[in-house]
Amino acid sequence: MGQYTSINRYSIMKYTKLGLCISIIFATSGVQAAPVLSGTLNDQTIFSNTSVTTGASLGNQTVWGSILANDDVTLGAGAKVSGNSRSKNLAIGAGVLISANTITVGNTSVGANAIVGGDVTATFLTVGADATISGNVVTVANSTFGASAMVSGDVQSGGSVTIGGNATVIGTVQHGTALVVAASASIGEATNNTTPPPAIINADEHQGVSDAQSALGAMLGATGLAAGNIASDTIFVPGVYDVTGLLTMTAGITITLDAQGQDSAFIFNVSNYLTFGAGTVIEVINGNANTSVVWNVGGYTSIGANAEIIGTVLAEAYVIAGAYATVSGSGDSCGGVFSATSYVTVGANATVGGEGCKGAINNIMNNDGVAEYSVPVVLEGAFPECPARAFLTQDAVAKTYSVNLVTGDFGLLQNDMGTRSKVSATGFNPNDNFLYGWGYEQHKPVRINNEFKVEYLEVEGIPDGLDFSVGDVSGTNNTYYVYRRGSSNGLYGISLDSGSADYLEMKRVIGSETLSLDIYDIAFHPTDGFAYAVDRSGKLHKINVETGGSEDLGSVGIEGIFGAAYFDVDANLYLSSNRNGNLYKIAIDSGSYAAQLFSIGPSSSVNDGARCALAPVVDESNVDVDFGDAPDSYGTYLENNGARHGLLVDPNLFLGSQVDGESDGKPKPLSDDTSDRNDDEDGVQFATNLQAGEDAVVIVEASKAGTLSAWIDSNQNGVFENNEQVITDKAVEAGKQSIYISIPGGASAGSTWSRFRLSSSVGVTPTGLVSDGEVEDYSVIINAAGSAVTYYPSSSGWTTVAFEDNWPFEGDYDMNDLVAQLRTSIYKTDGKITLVNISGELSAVGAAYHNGFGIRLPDVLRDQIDEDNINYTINDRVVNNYSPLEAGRYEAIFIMAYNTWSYVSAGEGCIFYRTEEGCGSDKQMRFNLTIPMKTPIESDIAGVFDPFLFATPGAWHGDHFATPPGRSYEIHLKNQHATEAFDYAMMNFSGQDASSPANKHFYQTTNGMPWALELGSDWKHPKEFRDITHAYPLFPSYVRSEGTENTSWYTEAKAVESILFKD
Amino acid sequence: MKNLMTLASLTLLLTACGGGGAGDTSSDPSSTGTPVPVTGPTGQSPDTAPAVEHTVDLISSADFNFSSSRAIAIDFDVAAATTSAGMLSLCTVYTKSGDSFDIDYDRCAVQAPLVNGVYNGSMKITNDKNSVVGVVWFRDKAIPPVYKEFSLQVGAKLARRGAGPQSIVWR
Repeated sequence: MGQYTSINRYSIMKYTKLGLCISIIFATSGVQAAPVLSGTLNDQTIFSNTSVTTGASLGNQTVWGSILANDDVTLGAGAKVSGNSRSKNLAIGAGVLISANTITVGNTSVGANAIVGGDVTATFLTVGADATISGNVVTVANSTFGASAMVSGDVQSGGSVTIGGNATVIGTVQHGTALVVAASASIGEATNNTTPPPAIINADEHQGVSDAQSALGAMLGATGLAAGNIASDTIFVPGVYDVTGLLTMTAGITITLDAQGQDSAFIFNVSNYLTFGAGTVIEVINGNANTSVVWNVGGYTSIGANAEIIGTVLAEAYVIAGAYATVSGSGDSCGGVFSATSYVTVGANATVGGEGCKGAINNIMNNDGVAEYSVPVVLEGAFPECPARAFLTQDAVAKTYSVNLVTGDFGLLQNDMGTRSKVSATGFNPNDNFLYGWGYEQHKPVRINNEFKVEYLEVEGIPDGLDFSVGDVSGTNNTYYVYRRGSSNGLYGISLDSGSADYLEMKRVIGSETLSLDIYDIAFHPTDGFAYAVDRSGKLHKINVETGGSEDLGSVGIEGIFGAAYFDVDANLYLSSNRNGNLYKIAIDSGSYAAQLFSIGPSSSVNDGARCALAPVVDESNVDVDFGDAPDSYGTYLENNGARHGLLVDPNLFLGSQVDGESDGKPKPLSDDTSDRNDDEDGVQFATNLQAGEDAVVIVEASKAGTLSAWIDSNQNGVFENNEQVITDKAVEAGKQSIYISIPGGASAGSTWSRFRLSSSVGVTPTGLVSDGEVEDYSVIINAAGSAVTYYPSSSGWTTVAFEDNWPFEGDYDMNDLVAQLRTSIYKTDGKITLVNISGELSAVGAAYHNGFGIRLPDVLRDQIDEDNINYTINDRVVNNYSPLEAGRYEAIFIMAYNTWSYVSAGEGCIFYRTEEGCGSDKQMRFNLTIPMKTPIESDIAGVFDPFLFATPGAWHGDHFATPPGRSYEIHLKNQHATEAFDYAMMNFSGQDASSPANKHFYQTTNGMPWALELGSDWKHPKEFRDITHAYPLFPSYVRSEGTENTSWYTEAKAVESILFKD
Repeated sequence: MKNLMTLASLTLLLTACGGGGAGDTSSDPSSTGTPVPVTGPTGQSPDTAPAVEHTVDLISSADFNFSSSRAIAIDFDVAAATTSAGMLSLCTVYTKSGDSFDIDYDRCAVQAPLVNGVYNGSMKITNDKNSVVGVVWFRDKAIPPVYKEFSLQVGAKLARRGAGPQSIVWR
C-alpha cells in the first residue's frame, strides 16, 4: 500500500489491522475521490437491502468476511462466517461459526452448538444448547441461554436473563428485570441494572451500492459488448464492457480475463440481468495484486451451481448463488455479492469471498460520480502496514529500536541505518508508510525505509546548517514538520504530497519568537490535525501547524525531558521520559490531560520516537519463546526455523540462572542480551581453551535435570553440521557439572559459534522448536594447537582508563573527560605472540574539546603487524575502508576514534555524554580490535598497553595552542611516554605540567598527579565537576601511601554512590 | 559535614573488614577509625580533621605511577600433568568452600595447555585482587581436576622494597 497515482490529485491509504479496515482519504486539491464502495460497504462480503439467506436447511456455506443486511440474516447449519454479521434479525443455525461480532436490531437466535467468536449485540437473544459466545453479550431486552451454553465475557441485558442448566457465564451478568439461573449453571457476579443498553440502529447502506453502480456505469472508455448469450470459451482483455440488455453464460464454459501482466481492471456493466450457468468458470490469467473485476448488473444476478466466479457482483436486484458455487476476489480484493434493493441467497456449500484479502473492490475510485481505475504506487521499502510498534532512533550514530508500548519491552532493530551521524525528529507517514526524520550527517530530511536505512531527501529551502531534533509527520495533511527553538528558527513544514505544488519544499510556518516552546518531540493527533507536545515543565501544548498558533492546555502533572511522543488511533498521547524511560499516557480526547504511568521502556539521553498514529496500541509480542542469537546462518530467525524453546508460564528448565523470551531470534549484532539489558546467556562456561584435535572442558549449569546437546561450528562455515555436534543427548543434573567435548582435529583456528540446547527431549537438532528448555549461543575462539591465552584483567572483565583533557593545565579531576573500558587478550604459541585482541566501550565523554582515542602496543613495530588481516568492529559491525593501524608511523599505534563525538552524543538538554545527572544512555560505542602478527613476535606486552587521548585533528584545544594541535597533542597514563606523533616541544613546563622526559617523568603535575588513570575494574566515573576524591574517599590514602594502602580504592564498594554517574 | 561522616563510616567499615594490608601500618589511616588527616601542602596539623579534601591538593612523588595492576610471574610444574596432558586456567573470581572451588571461568587471566606439566609465563592482576586460583583439567577424564590457590601481595609495596615481580609457584 502507499500513494496512489491517478489523473486527478488524490491519495488514499488503507490498512488492515485485526480485521479492522480503515480508509482515509486525503484530498489535496481539485475533485475529491473516494473508493467506489464506501468504507463500510467495502468491508463487507455480502450486502443485501433485504435479507441474506444461506439456505436454512442446506448449510455449510463459507463466507470470508462480513455480512450486512437491512433485513434478516439466516445462516444455515454448519455455515462459517469469518467476519461480522449486522442485520435486522439474525438466525444462526446449529453448528454455525461466526468468527467475529454480531449486531442485530431485533432478534438473534443462536443455534445449538453454534459459536460466535466475538460479541453479540441484539434486542432479544436466544442461545441454544451448547452454543458458545466468546465475547460479551449486550441485549436491549431479554436474553436466554440454553443448557450448557457458554459465554466467555459479560452479559448485559436490559430485560430478563435466563440461564439454563450447566450453562456458564464467566463474566458478570447485568440484568434489567428478572434473573433466572438454573441450579447447575455458573455465572460471575450478578447485578441488577435498570438502565437498559441503548437501542440498536443499523445504518442503511444501500444507497452506497446504488452510487457505486451509477459511477461504474459512467466509466469512460467503455467498449460495447453485444447483449445475449456467451456460448463458448471467451477471452477478454482489460477494459470497461457495456452491455445494453441481459448477459448470460452457457453452463460449463470458461471466461478468461487476461490481465496481460499489468495493473488492470475488467468492468462489466450489464444493464439487465446476468446469469452464470452452472459450472461456469471465470479465470484471471497474468494478473497481479491490482487486478480488479466487477460485475455491475442492472437487474438480478444468478450464479449457477458449481460456478466459479471471480470478481465482485453489484446487482440492482437480487443475487442467487447455487450450491457449491464460489465467488472470490481478483488480485488482493475479496470479491463479494451486493444487492442494492433486494435479497441475497447463497446455496449449500457455496463460498463467497477469500482469505487474507482486503476489501470488496480495490483500486476503483469514485471521482465525482464517475468511477476510474487507479492503483497504489507501492514504493520500494515502504512498511507493509501501519505498525503498532513505536520506533526510537537514538545515539550519535543512529540506531533504531522498536518499543512495545504495552509492555515497555524494546529491542534493537538496526544499528546501521546507513548514516554516520544522528537521525532525529522522526515521524511515521501513514500516507506512504515511510518513516521520516532529520539526518544530521547532511543536514537534510531523510526518508527511512522498512529496513531502517536512510535516504536523504532533496528538499528546497533548507535553512543553512540548521538541524532539527523536534518533528513529526502530519498524516492529515501529508506534511513533515520540524521545530527548533531559538532566534531565527521556528516551525517548518515540508510537504510529502507528490501531487502538491510545494512538494519537498521547506517552508517556515512561524518563527520561534512567536512559537517558543521548551519541547523535545511533537506528535500529531491521528485525526484532528493538531500537533501535541509536553514541555520540560509538564505543560501540554496544542499546536496548529497551519498557523503556528499554540494553546497551553495546562499541566499534565509530570516534568522532565520527553524525548519521544506518540499517538495511537484512539487519540492517546504517549510520552517517554529520557531520564527513567517511564512511558506516560494522556487521553487527549477525554479533555482531562493528567498523565498516567503506562509502562517502563528504555531510558536514553537521545530519544526520538515515531509511530503510525493510525494503529491501535496492542501487544504484538509473543515472548513466551526463547530464541538463540548466533548469526542467522546458523538458524536463528523464526522464518529460518531458528532454534527455539517454548517457555512455560513459570519456566523451570533452563541453563544458568534464568531464561527470557523473545518474539523472534535476535542474531548478533542485534542480540537482545545487549539490547534489552537482560543477558540470559549464563549457563555455559569454557573451563579450558578450545584447541583443534584436543578435548576441552565446559561447565554447564542446569536448573534441573534435563537433556543437553551442543554444536560447535569448527569449520567456521556458518552452519552447525551433523559432525559438529559435540554433546549428544547427555543427561545433566541440576547444578553445575563439567562435560568434556572433543574439538575435531581439522578445526580451523579463529572465532566461531557454538550452540547449547537443554530440554527434556532427545534427538534435538541445531534448529527448530523444542517445547521446553533453553538455547544459548556463544561466540567461541578455537585456538591453534599449543596456544596459550593471557587476558587482562580477565576473560570477560573490564579495566578502565579515565582522562582529564586539559593538559598542560590541571583539570577539575572529575576524571570523566574521556572514560573507556578495556580488555586485552594476548595469544602466544611457543612463548611468542601470534595475535592480540583489544575490546572496549566508551562510557563517558565529559569534554568540551574534541578528543580522539588511541592505543599503542608498547615496543611493537608497525611492520610486525599483519595489517591486511586486522579486524576492527564498532558495535559488532566491521568497520570497512578504515585501518585503525595509524599510517606513517614506526610504532604500532591504533586509532579507535579520531573524534569520540563521532560515535557518541550528548542527550537532549545535556552537554556531555554520560556524565550529567539525567543524561544516561546505553554505551553508544563498543569496539573490538583483533591484531594478528605477520610472524610470531617476542614481546612482554601485558595489561592495558598504552591507551592515550589525543586532540582531534583540526579541532580547537584551548587558547594555549595557537593552532589546533591535532595528533601532536597526547595525554598518556602517568610516566608513560608519548608516541612518535607527539610534539615533545610542548613539554616545556607550561601550566602545571612537570613532565621531564630526561628523567622519564611524563604527564604529571607539579604535585606529581596524573592527567590519566587506570582503574582496574568496570569503573564508575564521577558525575560532571565532581572531584574523584569526593567520589572515592580512599583515593588520598592510596596516593599518600604510594599505592600500598587501599589499593582497591576505585571499586564501587568504596565509592560514595551519590557522586557517581548513573545510567 | 556530610562528607566527613561518610568518610568516617567508610573507614570504620574497612576496619571491620580487615582492610589495609600487612607491613607498615604507622601511616595507615584505615586502621584508626578516625577521619583521614591531611598532610598536604596546606600545613594543617595532622590532628585537625579537614572539612573537604580535594584532589588538587594531593601530592605524589614523581616516580609513583598510579599503576592499577602488578605483574605476576607464573612458574608451574604440575607433576600430575606429566602422565596425562593438563589444561590450565588461572582465574581471579571464585568461591572456596572447604577444599572445593567454584570458579567463574569468565574471569580467568590465563588459559593455556601445560607442556609436560609445565607452564611458565606472566600475567597482570589488578590491585583489587588479593588471590587467584589455578586449576588443571586432564585429558584423561578419569582424573579429577586439581586446584591450587595463590595469595598475592600489593605490587607497589614490593616495588618499593626493590623486589622484582612476585611469582606464584606450583610444584
